[in-house]
Amino acid sequence: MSFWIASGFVLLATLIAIILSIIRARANSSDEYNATIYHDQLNEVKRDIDHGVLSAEDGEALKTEIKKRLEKNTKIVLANAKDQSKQAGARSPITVAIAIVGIIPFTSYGLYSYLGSPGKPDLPFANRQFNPSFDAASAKMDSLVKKLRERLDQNPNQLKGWILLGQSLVNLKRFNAASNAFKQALKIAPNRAEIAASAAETRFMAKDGKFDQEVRDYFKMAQRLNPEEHKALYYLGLDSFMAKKYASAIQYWVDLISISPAGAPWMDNVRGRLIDAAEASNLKISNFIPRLKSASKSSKKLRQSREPAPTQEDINNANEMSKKEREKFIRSMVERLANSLKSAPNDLNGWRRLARSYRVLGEQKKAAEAEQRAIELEK
Amino acid sequence: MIVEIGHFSLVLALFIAGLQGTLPIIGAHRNNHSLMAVATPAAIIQFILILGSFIALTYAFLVSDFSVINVASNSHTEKPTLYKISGVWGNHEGSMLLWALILAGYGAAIAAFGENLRPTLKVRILGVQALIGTGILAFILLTSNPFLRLTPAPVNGNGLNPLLQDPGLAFHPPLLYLGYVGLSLTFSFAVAALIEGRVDAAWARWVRPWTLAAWGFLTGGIVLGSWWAYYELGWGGWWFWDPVENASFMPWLAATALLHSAIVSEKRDGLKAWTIFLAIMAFGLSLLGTFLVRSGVITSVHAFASDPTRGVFILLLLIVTIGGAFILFAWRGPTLKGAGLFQPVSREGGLVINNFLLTVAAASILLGTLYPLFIDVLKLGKVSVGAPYFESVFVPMMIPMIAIMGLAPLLKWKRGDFKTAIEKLKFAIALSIIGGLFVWILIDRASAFTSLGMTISLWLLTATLTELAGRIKLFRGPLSESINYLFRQPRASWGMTLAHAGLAIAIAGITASSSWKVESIQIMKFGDQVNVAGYNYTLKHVREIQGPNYKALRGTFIVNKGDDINWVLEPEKRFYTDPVMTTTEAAIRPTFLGDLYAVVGDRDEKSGGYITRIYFNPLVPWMWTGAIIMVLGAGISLTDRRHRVGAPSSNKIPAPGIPAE
Repeated sequence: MSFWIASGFVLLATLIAIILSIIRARANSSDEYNATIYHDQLNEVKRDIDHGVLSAEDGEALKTEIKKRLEKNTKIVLANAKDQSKQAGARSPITVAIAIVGIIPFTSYGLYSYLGSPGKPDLPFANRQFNPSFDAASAKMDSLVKKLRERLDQNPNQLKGWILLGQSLVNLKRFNAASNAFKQALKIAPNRAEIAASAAETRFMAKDGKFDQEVRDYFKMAQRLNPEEHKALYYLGLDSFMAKKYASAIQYWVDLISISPAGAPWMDNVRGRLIDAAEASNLKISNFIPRLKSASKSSKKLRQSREPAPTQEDINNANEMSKKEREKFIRSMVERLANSLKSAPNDLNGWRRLARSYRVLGEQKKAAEAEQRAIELEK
Repeated sequence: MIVEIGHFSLVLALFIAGLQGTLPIIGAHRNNHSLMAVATPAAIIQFILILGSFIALTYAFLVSDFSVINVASNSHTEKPTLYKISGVWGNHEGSMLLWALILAGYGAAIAAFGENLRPTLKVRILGVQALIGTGILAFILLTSNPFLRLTPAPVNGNGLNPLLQDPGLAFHPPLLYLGYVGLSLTFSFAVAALIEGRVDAAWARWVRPWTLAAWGFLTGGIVLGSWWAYYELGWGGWWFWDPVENASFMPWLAATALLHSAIVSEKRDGLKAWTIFLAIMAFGLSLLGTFLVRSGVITSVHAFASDPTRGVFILLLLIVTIGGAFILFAWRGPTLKGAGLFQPVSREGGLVINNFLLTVAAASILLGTLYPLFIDVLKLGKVSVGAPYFESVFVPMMIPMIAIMGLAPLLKWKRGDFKTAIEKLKFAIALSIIGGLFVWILIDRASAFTSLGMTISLWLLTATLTELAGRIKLFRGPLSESINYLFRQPRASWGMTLAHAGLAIAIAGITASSSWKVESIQIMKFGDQVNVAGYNYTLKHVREIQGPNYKALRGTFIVNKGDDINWVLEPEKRFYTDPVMTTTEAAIRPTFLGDLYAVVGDRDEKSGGYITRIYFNPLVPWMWTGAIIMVLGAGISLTDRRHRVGAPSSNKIPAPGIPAE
């Protein structure tokens, strides 16, 4: 509401100032403007003669010239004056004034409502109320990241810290900063292929999905450190693919598939890409022999000997566990909400949210109570 | 709400500019005073509205309102307050708003202080100014709107390019725009005169202070930008002939020419068409500069082609404005006959030749700037036109120009006497030749060019002082009388003396710093010493420090020379995170003979030392001093009493025979 009042005031003040000037207009046709200048020029010449800058002779010549111009100007002024007196007395200014008052409000509000967001409030950072969904999470994340960053600045040798910072920044989609964090981590642990790959991947993201030399270098470093680094294989393949070097791309991806466990989440994507590359190049995938086959088997064996592959049961258990944990987490949140509503019982949205939460947890009775309270408040 | 009011004000300003651009011009044509009366209040209101919207945007930056897209993409909560404010014009949309604000500001200034202009001329000037404003405001609102909102607002912004987070660059754009856009007013004067069909003494006198103001701002803006490049880019260069710099230099050359030809128009009633032509050119070049910088066409022709809306809009604006003005010029120009005849050897003659040289210089820079673009557009490959072209074309033209620049003020108007002038200048001629020989023989025998530069600089300085000495009759009467004359010189002639002397000093700086720069790049460990141009630099330590929104390596050099000198230089290399960028901050210690200039770079992993670059840049302070003196000259000239000669007030001088309405 206040926006309309304020903008209306701006518009009104503008229109009044213009209309008044139209209505009050007076003829002011003195045309002595050149004469003033010529008189000033004559004075200047006089001064120059007095100061001896000009000889009296030269000065007189100049003066004569200026006087001639002055005379000529007077003739023009008189002619114009006659001319003007003929034309003076134009149409009534009221028509113009009415037209302005009629048109300007429409055009200005029209264009503004097309371009702007009428009445949308300001959102200064200081009094921002982060709403409890996305904003809160990312605001919290933001402050956590800041704290972590400060701690790492004081104590920069914490490998885990840098990796965590990198991952958090990825969640905040601040890829450039994330890439720098991974690079820091890599400085501490220069042999960790997956860190090099993350540094490269985040930089790639930061560059809006473009390869530059640095991205390539880091992926190549990752692959050198661990020939089976799957991210490196995938992206190096992608780089070749984008550069239309299909044979190289197919080779990378064939390698990647050969070392990937059967259910790896990236498999579908890689297979799809592989087919694209084969189609684009008319090369047969079957002609490409995985370069990493032997190495990969031995490493798989090694891994198996250390930790047995998870059975289906294990996975189910893990899912179950995490479900329980999730529920526990939700419960603790709901309890906190319920407690806070005790101290602030008029929070309508709070009660609504509580009701929804109880429904999710399957506690229908409590949910109904909360809904009742919300309905009461709505009245 | 403040943001939305700002947006609404800007929309309203567009329509007020539309009114101001049409009604007064029609009114002046029909001699309708009601319509003409719209111009003055509309110009002031338009300015207030745009100012309001500029303040609203500044407010959004200050409080970090990330619901405004422009703020979200160019600011950050952790940015220091100064750069939150300069962030307003540190981006495309905001800088165009500043452009529009200054444009309207000049219009409002004419509305408020233009009472010494003939009413029809004044409203026509305001009308033309508003037509340009309409185009710019439409451009902002339709293609570069800084008030667009974002839902949901991001938690924080992207930050401002760290290169722009610098006091030099914070104030470079406003100054430069005051210059660039100031030329819009001379353009409006020119077009208004063409519409009226007359260029008279009053026109020529009143176009001058505005040209002078624009010229002063433009000079200041260019120097500030150059100074920024000098200390921020970290390798001691200060002018790179890159398209963005050329974009500001070309209007400067045209404005310089205009400034001088307007003198002839006022005092000698001559060069009228030429003055009008230059006024159109000067603004045309500054619009072209805006197009080059703002359309992105320089960074890459292809980037421009992929999002051409903005570029095409400015290009159309450029074509309509300048093309329209030239058509008008072709139609009306022939009627602008000058009355003042003059001989080739005369002050007018000198001004004409220099005008010609300045214009050709501007044209050759224009060619060098646009040529690579045309080649690229026509798919003839990629070329880059760099310093060698510009230097080999520009410098030779400047040599005769400066020779005449020293001579012409000593020639008389209309019919000069070459012999008398040379007679007066014999001391200056001798001194500059001796100076040049001295440089060649004793300082630098390798480069005849350098000594030529020094000769020219000395010539301009001594000739300018000779002219001043002649004015105050030095040595031709008692000294007390000369001093008396000195203080009674009109401020406009002080302006000329200062501007010309300033240029002479700057030329000495330019010549010396391009020829005698000493450079030393090395890896230094703590305690290592390097001798550059007689100064001993010891790297004491390099420490990590924390700035408000960056981290930096700060190197500490102890500089010794003899027993007296014991200075500390602390260059920095800064690492910004939002957005990620590294900047260098050179440490500079100016001395009379040159700048000591140190830069600290990365750590060299092998040796454990730091890469350091140390320069001695001779006479660079002279360059800045010279430029400041030039700007000062413009300022002093602006306060001359001739610019305050009042309007004929209708109370004192009754209008001859006009019946009241």
